[in-house]
Amino acid sequence: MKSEVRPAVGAVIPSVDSLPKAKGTTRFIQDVNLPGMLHASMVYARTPHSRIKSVTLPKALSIKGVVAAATCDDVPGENRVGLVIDDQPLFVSSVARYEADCVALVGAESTAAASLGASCVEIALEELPPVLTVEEARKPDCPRIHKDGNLAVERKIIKGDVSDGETRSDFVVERTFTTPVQEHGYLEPIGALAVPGADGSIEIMAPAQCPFYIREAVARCLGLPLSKVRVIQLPIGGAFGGKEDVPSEICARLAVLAVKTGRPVKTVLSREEDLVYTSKRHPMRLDYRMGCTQDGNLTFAEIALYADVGAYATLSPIVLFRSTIHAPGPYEIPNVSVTTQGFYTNSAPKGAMRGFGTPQVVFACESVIDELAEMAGLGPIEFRLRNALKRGSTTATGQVLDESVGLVETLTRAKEFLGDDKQQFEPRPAGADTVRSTGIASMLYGVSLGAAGRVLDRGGARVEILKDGSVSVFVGCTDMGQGALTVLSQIAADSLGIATDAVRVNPVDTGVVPDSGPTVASRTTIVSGNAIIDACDKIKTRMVEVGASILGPKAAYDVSRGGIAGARSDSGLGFPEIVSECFARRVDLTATGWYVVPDCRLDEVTGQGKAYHVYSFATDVAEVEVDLKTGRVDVKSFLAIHDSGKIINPMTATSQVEGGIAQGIGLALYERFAVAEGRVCSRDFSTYLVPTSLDISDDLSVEFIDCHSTDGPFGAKGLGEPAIIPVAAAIANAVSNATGVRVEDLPIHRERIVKCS
Amino acid sequence: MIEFETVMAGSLEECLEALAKYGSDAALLAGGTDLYVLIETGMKLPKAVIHIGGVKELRDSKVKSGSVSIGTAVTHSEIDRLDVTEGVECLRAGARAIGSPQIRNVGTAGGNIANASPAADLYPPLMVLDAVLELRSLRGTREVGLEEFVAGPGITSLRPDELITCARFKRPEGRFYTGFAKIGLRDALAISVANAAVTVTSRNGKFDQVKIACGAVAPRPIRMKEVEALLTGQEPSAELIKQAGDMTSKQCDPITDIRASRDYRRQVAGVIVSRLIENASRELMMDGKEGATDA
Ligand SMILES: Cc1cc2nc3c(=O)[nH]c(=O)nc-3n(C[C@H](O)[C@H](O)[C@H](O)COP(=O)(O)OP(=O)(O)OC[C@H]3O[C@@H](n4cnc5c(N)ncnc54)[C@H](O)[C@@H]3O)c2cc1C
Repeated sequence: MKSEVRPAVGAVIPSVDSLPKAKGTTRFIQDVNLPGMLHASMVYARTPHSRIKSVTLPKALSIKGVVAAATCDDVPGENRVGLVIDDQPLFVSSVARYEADCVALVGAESTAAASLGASCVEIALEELPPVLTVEEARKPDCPRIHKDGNLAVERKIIKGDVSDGETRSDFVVERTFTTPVQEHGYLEPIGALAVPGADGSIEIMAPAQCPFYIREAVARCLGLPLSKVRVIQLPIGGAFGGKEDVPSEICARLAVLAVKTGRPVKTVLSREEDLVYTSKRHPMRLDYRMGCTQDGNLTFAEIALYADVGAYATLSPIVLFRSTIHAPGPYEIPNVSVTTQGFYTNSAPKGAMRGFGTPQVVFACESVIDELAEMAGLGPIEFRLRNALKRGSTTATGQVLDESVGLVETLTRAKEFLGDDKQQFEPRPAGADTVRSTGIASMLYGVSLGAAGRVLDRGGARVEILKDGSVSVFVGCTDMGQGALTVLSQIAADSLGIATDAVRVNPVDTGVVPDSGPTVASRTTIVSGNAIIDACDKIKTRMVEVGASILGPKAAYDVSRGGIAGARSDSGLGFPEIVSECFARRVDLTATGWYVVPDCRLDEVTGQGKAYHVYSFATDVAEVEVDLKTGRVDVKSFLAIHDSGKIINPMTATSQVEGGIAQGIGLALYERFAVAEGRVCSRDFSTYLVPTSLDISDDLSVEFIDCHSTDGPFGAKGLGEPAIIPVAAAIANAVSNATGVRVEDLPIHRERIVKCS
Repeated sequence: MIEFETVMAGSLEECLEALAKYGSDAALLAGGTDLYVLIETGMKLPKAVIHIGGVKELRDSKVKSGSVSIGTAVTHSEIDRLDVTEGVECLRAGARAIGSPQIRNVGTAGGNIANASPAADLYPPLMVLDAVLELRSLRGTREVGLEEFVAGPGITSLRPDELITCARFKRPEGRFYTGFAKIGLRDALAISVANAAVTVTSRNGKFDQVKIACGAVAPRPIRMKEVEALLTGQEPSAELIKQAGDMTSKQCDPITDIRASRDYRRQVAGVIVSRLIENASRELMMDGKEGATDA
């Protein structure tokens, strides 16, 4: 029998898709063109709030090359795309609620004709007073953006008695923070292609995170059964949550025009359109009050969050659920009250972005924790250790954590790294006008959809073993650059005991795999990974039956070698042999695996219960240098310590965290999405600055605490979002420590540092 | 769709002929890093685009009797490594501060000058070097100083049939300090919120010739004449250097825009000027330990 196969899980394997991407041979949506294909351009309202009186097309249709246009009148099914709350039209029919609310779609023989055509669509509208801020939207006499008012979402947690906690407090910190809009800034703007079928079906190709969302949106708008809509995922050039819900709208519009013309229709947004039209991270105002005893034990947290959800609710109910749950941080606090409200404004919808409502609350919470630590005379690490969630702790929702809680280990490692817990956080002069200091921040993150997404929290995989012994895998979650294809190959390889390169994980095809929910919430490794294991187990059972008929009843699957082991150590069938044997006997080596995330439920009123089935943890350490005269902040070094359970691939995991640090540095220091009078001013990357490679520290380190989760595949938990979550908080704490002035607003404004010093 | 004719000029003569033919309907194309943006945003709609990147005469750089001339189509990357710019650190550093490697590999000196952005990073260095531009047309050749050349954002005294052929300046002689500094909102690909260049010589432990220019703090890059006068003939001191910074701030008249406020621009322009002057006094060893002498 063959010798043992080196386990793939835990091995350093470069992303399977990295080489073609580096060579430029990957075919993105921009490269996909079909014969007879139309290019489409969206027509936007171009004013923040208005009543649309008429949309007139003849002038646009007279442009050379323009073939057709679609408006709300052309939608065969429902003209709606609301995801959680049904508040959003596919094409605006009466009221346009933000600058880039889509009124029509123009299809033409070339992109140039399409955009010229789009600019010639005549819109007669009456401007309505725009509601631009949450402060305005909250006022009782404010104009209503939707008929039920401007309050879109409300969430709560009530645990214990906050006023009782306050009476027992020796120190109380009260502070208001604000966090900004953040743009995903993926390299590849959103695009899609809709291809009508002769039988009335339709096929969609799109670089999108959630092909099953697209299938539903297209079926609904076209009035088709789900079975007649097939969605095939194209390679994704970055997503970060930005390609979660937005592609559904675009695909449904393309589908309407494709059906109307009988031709394939494609669009790829320009960078400007992408910046103005698509979803962003929720900006928030965060009112925090927290207290502790003289010994540094947290007594209460009273938190109110106010989020701007933009023109439509889209994913806000779920994002703000997450903010609410995570607002009190990874600490044991006996008395907690969190109230979250999301308000409509006349701006682009706020949706999913890496961290999903968590980086905001972690910034506020970790700032307050630092202040309380100082009042209690404890070092920031000591204070956190004293209050940290551990195995057996009760969270703010009353959930008892029974396994895989690695927060203390991350803090202990941070302490070991820094040495002295107090001195490190003092300001240290570095030059005539510069000063350095260090800051830390910790977080927890509920993996997968949790109680708010309970019904969607399952996923499938289809595994087929081919006669040459290679393995074809289809899963329902997408790779958007985070390394899913690679990590899932490793999981399949180790489930069967074969080499990783014998496995090919295919892009999502809704015609092949069952609805697996969205690719979000750092859930892919767990959900698709477990579904693959389940499918492999089913196939292995059939192989063992065949093996037993040759080797006797003691035959068992041997994952260390791949194949069937017999009763005696020298008897057995290698993987190729058992595969041939199965093919000779016409045994089906295809299976669909299924995984259901353990049930989570919360009480509607008190927010008490099990919020998520398992949590990832992290502690980040940032060292910064601040130029007090120019306000420039330089991240000198950054250490991220993560508990994401078993790390399936240290290389792709490390690169996830490094990318998260970069994006977190952007949130902390650079990214400022400028809007004036309801119109976006940051319409390109020269006015919306993301950090470049020079702005990210040369000294980044990433470490993992291997804290197994029993439910995760091979013990894994989620990592994609934790990567960014504590970054801005750690930098803000470092800057506060360096300047002696508490950072209350992100991004940290140079002009404010200059004024304060 | 944007359509225009393209002329691939093979020689200076061909450039000038094409310019004479199309006049104000023409746009010269060097690296295209400004022009394409102007065309894309509809700020410029040329009927003809004349590519000058292949014109050998415009890519020449030389030193003739102490006078350095930099061909207009020389790229920023080249400026940073040409022999003729050795020791002229303000110019090299200014070129290095532009955009990113990709932008510096195609963007040119002439493009930066002709585009005349108030924030253009080559202006302050060339201004403190007292550079003059050579302008050519079929009608003839003329020379103008930089300060005379630029009147405001994108406004220059270039005539429709003219092009810049080179920038010329005298290499500073003897012992001198020259430096450039920039405040952008990040460390690469950042338009200056304020920039500054200085050249300083010393005599007997005192500032002798001091030239200071700042960008992004007024409708056009400006020489800080009052600050220069303040420093000339003075012994360096912390107090004096601070005063120079404050006076710089006062002389600035910037705008508030999407990148920075008027107050911030003023503040940091003062900061970078005082830091450059401090470097100068340290480097010229005017800190009293050693009486600095001119070489
Ligand atoms: C991403 C990016 C980052 C940038 N960063 C910076 C920066 O940090 N600092 C900075 O200063 N600039 C920056 N720029 C602006 C630009 O790169 C520079 O100004 C560059 O020097 C322009 O040179 P070019 O050869 O590309 O000019 P082009 O775009 O070819 O030309 C610019 C203008 O000058 C005219 N022109 C060109 N050559 C001549 C000539 N010989 N005679 C007369 N007119 C001429 C053209 O007709 C055009 O109007 C940046 C641009 C981009 C796109």
